[in-house]
Amino acid sequence: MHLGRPFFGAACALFLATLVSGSPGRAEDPALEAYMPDNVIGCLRVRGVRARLDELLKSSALEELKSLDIIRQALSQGGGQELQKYLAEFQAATGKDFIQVAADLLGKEALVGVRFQFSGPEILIVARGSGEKEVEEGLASLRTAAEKKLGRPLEREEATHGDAKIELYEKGKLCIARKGAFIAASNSKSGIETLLDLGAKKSGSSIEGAPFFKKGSAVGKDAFALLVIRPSFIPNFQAKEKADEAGESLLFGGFAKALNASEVISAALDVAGGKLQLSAAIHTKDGEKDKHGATFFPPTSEGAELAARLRARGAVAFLHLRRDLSRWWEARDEIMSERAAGGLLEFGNTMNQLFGKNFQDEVLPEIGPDVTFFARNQEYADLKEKPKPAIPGFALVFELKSSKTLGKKIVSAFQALVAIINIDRAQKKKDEGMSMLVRTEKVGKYDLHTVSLDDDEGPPGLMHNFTPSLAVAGSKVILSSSAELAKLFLDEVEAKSTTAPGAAKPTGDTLTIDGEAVRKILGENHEFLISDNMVKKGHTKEEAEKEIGILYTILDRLRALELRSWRDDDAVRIRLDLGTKWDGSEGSKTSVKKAETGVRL
Amino acid sequence: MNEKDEGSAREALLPFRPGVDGPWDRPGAAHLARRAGFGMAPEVVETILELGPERAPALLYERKPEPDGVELTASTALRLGNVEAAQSAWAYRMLLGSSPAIEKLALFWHGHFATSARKVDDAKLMLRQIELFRQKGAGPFLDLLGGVARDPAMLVWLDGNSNRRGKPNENFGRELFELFALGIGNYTETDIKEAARAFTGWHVRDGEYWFNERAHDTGSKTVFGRSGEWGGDDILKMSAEHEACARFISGKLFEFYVHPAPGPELRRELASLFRTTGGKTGEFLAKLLGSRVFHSKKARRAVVSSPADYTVGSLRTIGARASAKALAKSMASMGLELLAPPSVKGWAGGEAWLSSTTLLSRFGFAMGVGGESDFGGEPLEVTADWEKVGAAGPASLFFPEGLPEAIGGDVRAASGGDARTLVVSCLQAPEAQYI
Repeated sequence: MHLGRPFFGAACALFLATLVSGSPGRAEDPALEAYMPDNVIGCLRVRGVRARLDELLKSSALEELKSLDIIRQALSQGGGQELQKYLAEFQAATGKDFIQVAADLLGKEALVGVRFQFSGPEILIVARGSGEKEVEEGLASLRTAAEKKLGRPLEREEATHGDAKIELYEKGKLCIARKGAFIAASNSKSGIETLLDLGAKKSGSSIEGAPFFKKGSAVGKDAFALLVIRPSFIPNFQAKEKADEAGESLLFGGFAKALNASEVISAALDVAGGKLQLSAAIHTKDGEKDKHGATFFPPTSEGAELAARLRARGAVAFLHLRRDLSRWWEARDEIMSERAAGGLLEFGNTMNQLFGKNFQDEVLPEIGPDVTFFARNQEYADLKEKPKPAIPGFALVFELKSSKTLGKKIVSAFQALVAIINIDRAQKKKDEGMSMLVRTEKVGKYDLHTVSLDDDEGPPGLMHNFTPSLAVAGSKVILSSSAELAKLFLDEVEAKSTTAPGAAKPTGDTLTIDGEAVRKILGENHEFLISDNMVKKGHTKEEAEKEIGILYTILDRLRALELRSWRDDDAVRIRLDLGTKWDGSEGSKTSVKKAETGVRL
Repeated sequence: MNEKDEGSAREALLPFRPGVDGPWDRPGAAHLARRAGFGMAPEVVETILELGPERAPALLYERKPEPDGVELTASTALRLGNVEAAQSAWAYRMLLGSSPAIEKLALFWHGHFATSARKVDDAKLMLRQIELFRQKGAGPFLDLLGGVARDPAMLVWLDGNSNRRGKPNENFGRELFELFALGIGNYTETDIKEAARAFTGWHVRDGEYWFNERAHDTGSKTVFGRSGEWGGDDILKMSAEHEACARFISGKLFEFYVHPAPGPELRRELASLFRTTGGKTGEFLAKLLGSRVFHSKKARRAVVSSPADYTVGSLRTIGARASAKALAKSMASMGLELLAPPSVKGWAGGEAWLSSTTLLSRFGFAMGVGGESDFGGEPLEVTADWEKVGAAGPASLFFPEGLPEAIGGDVRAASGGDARTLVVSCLQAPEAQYI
């Protein structure tokens, strides 16, 4: 029976619906969890499918989505084309819209679980549809469509289990039981019998009281979609033990470790008026502390107000990490590949020379645990015109535990690096000689050291985006690609800014991206994007404009993205918040041109 | 070399007479297309076939307006100023530009006046040099020589700024005689030293040519037995008018466009033809590419395809597009890194293009064209109308003169009829390594 693909397609359509629909309200009927056995690998629960679809159909968002080039392209190729074909076939066979039928069947709530049996994977489904009549008609439509596809009547048998009637199709490949608006289904007879027994409280234990489910479902009890998995039940489940690159290890090493030590992984997806929220939790086994937990998840901080102020000053992207860098460095052979660890060693040797101190033992322990990276559009006040391309400035801020000893060393390392680059350039281009000059200016009470590059009298180009700068402000060090950004940071250190902090304090790792600001940067560098697309894909200019236009279309509908992660006693937690243009905020009320040939600022 | 195969050398350079010297047919038109430009796009072959062997060559060197995209990628590469962007932009132009013959000639001059971005370290200067080859490459050789001598990239490459009165740097003088204009054995060491004095003060400043009067040696110099207060332009004129120059340049062009190792008699005739055209390369090539020797059997599939011929030519033949970035990298893996010739002598060319390593790269590229793999490098992202290619018949596109049946059978047997697989088989055939 070929119902898998249409169901998947319906799931995608319903997911789209969640982006624009409001919360449907809580299910009030008895929990479906009572039917699901507690020996499942995991389960997926969705709520309010019917209500969300109805809202989507009422909203203007659907028309807008359908008019988008990207959607039209997706629907006219590959999987999208097949989906359309299945939907049309279903419509022709039954006179009904498959999406509506699926929404009626899943209606108020649905729960899908999977477990392994001797005969293979067993899928268990329980759902509470929109109503008895809708469920009956929906199932009848599915039967009709399947028979049309097969070109013959479905093989059907009936069985009873207690006072429940079970319909078995195609020799038990699909078993369905129904009572009113309630449906139970499985790909095996024993599966459906288990569901019915649990529902009747005859035998077995359900996930309703299971510790793993209680733990996992806490991540989003009332979410639209909730997924809870037990990784130990999945054969060969193993996240990468050692990262291939140092950066990969620094960013994601903690999650890989947690996954490998996990007991339950859960995720919840919800929507509140156009804002998407995804929460996830990786619960490690009770009593088993991940060996490198303290490296990747040092105790959460409270004093990150400066970071929040930087975000409020218009960062395009902001990344805040908390890492015990010294422990991470020491553990490199255990957590990284040989090549990556070797690379770090080489880096360390270079740092030894620049600092004149042992980098591992004397420098690293003085740094961290808070490391902040932010990028912000530049205003180029010192230039007559904006350079082309215009790229954001970016800055790295880290804390020093003892700025008195290390602060000066960092400044001299910076100056030494500039000198080395100058000498190298002079050797290669004798006639141009040394061309980078370090100048120092006072910004408030701090010294800002800025490298100015060659003056070029032509129109400002790529190099005019860079005025590498360094400042040591108390216990904070800022290393920036642009003096403009460094000065902004020093303003904030001095608390000269009148902008209110606003945003919540980051408590672990935080990543924020301002979709509108990213869109603006791309628009300002439109020609470079087009040229890059042409060169990388062999496109003509028109084709490149169309493809970049799709990117603009997506970004025009996104607002801010915030991704946070932290560790508490119970789990490593991740939270993603994504705003869309349908979230009812000011920006979303602006009309956006259809992306026919690419949207340009 | 057996000159009997070419008839008398003088007759060899006379215009090809269709029906007398041989048939004028699709294989002949394709031969011209792939030698003069890149590949054998069916529409180009048709146009050449219609124009005929005498008219077609001249029209190839007429500059046509470039598509918007070509100009945009070039201007972006200039703004970005990095060598990789510049290489990609040139590969893009080779693939999608409207004047492949001019690009191929620019590539010839790039190998002749070999200048490497590895030392120049300035993509803008390199791109300007290539543009110089486009602008002046088909014109009088003396003009081109003058442009090159003042070209900032060349001056950086050959340490022009070190060439000062009292301490002349012989780099440019030596390369001018040995590699650019005359060839080995046509000058003395004294000529080089004296010529170097004439070029003192030919410097570069802020990325532009600058005549540094204070560094120039105004004294009398004796070059080629003639004495005078020669300046750089005088030396260039003497070089261009030297009898060895016509022989040297015409011989190199012949080996690049017709076949390797012309005999001594033919070389003399070539030099004479070159002088007849006033040293104008475009006019010379128009006559050469319409000549009997060009259309002789000896000239067919006689030149080893350079990596540019192989990669760009394959894609143009099937009307495909691809990532220019990957294309530039593919060429580099086959021994031709655009804007970075291995030495001042340029690329050896000929059989030197084929080694076990480069053949592997070629075959990997062929597989990439067929979509079978990205051979570990940058994905090629080839897009083509495969139905159209299949309908036209890949074997007849790549081998319009036909394949020997044994090879043709193998090509068809290996592919099972699928257009992509047929294209891969064709590109991996030994005959495809020659144009």
